Amino acid sequence: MGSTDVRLFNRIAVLRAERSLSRQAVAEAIGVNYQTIGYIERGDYFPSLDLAFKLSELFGVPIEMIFSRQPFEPMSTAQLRLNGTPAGKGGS
Amino acid sequence: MNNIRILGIAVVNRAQRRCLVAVMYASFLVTGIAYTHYWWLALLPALICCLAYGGVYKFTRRYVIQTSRRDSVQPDEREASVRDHAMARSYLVVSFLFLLFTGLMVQHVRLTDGEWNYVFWGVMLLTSTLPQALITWNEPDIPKTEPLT
Repeated sequence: MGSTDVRLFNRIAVLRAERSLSRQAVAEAIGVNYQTIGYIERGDYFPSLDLAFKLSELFGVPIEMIFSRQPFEPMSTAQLRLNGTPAGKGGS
Repeated sequence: MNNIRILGIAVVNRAQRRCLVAVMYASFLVTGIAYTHYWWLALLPALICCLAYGGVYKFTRRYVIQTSRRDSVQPDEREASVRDHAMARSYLVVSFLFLLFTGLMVQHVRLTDGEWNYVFWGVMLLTSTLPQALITWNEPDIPKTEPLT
């Protein structure tokens, strides 16, 4: 359960949106109730390591890209910082 | 779950859901008081208590392991942890009450048959419903099912 003095930020909503996945679809893929996905997104529940790995495998990204103790910066900003090019203009 | 309304109460909303728990225990209290005067006066609050408990049961059904083959929905890790937490807290409360009543017994507190009857049913209700009541009381608002929100 989420504690009041510990915060865990996550990008699940963004990752879902990018992949056009509903909470129900994510929940079915990792074997939990859809409400649990909602609670995790809102920070009301901290998932177990097992569940975090399942989410990581589902989205195909490392766990630290889904969960963080610090607030996430926007994905486009992160990509710009990493690649040195604006999102959508990078690559070849 | 999002659309379920019990006694006009939307269980998706925690504030409203808490009313269900309050109604359940308050109506039990009224049932006991009414029963000491006229037994038929206790019928209506007893019915309300049962209806409220039905609502609490319906809300918390997911949190307990379903043993029947027809409904094989199992609680996930969050629901199991919420259930375990509620059970642990209930155990503490019931243990405290047990010690309290034992203390009263030792002090030779005399109760009438009606009062013992009420205490018995109160203990029965509390031990059987407290974990479910705690879950209903503490669970946050249920997230919506919209695809991308």
